Amino acid sequence: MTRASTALQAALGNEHAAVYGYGVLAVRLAGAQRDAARNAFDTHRARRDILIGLIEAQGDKPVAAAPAYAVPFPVATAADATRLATQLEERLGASYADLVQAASGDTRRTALEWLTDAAVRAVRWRGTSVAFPGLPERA
Amino acid sequence: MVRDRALAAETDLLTRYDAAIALPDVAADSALKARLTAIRAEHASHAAAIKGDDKAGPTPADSSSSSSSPSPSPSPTDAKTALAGLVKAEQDAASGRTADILAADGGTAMLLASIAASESGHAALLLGGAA
Repeated sequence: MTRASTALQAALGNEHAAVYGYGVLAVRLAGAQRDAARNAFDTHRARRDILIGLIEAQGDKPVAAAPAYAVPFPVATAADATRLATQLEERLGASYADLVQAASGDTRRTALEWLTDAAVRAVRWRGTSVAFPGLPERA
Repeated sequence: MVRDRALAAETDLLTRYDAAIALPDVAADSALKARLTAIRAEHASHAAAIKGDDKAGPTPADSSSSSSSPSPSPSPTDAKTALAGLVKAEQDAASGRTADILAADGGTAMLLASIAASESGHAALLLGGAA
C-alpha cells in the first residue's frame, strides 16, 4: 500500500468511529448542540462513503466498521458528550493532516478541507482554539 | 518562497491582533482581551513553526524581529469593527494558503494545512455561536 492509501484507510477508520460516537453522544445533548451533533453525524457518514469510494477506486478494500467502538469514558452528561465530540474531531483532524502530507492533488485538497472542518467543529465543541489542529506532536 | 509568504501572513495577523488588543474598549473587556491574547499567542507559535525554530515546542515569542511590513490598513477604533476585521483577516489567511499547500512538499503542506485550519477555527471562535 502507498502512504496515501494507508492514510485514507486510517481516515476511514476514524470516520467509522465518529459515526458511531456521534450516535452515542447526540442523545445527551439538547437544542442547538443536538442539532450540531446530528449535522456532524450526517457529515461524517457522507465522508465515510466518499472515502470508501476513493479507496475502492484505487483497487483497495476499505476497512469495515466495527460493530461497536470503545468509548474512552462513560457518556452520561452533556459535558461528556461535548468532550467526546471534541476528541472525535481531533482524531479526524490528525488523520486528515496525515493525508495532506501523504497525498497530492485533489485528495490533498479534500484532506485540507476536512482537516479545516474538523478543526472548526472541535473549536465549537471545546470553546477554545489550538495552534496546530491535526498535529498532536506540536501540542 | 512558500514559507516567506506564510510568515508574512502571520506577521500581518500579529500586527492586527496587537492593534485590536490595544483598543480601549477591548482592554476594558477582560474576557475579550484574554481571548484575543490567546489567539495572538497561537499566531506567534505559527510564525515560530514556519521559521522552523520551534524545535523545543510552541513558544509564545514576540515576532517583532520580523522585518515584513504589510501595507497599513485603516485601523479600527472600536471592538466590534476590530473583531469583524480579524474574522476576515483569519479567513483570508486560511484560504490564501490553499495554492501553496497544494504545491508544497508533504511536510510543509501538512504544517501550513494545520495553520490554515487553526485560522479557520479562530474565525469560528470570534464569530461565536453554538457548535
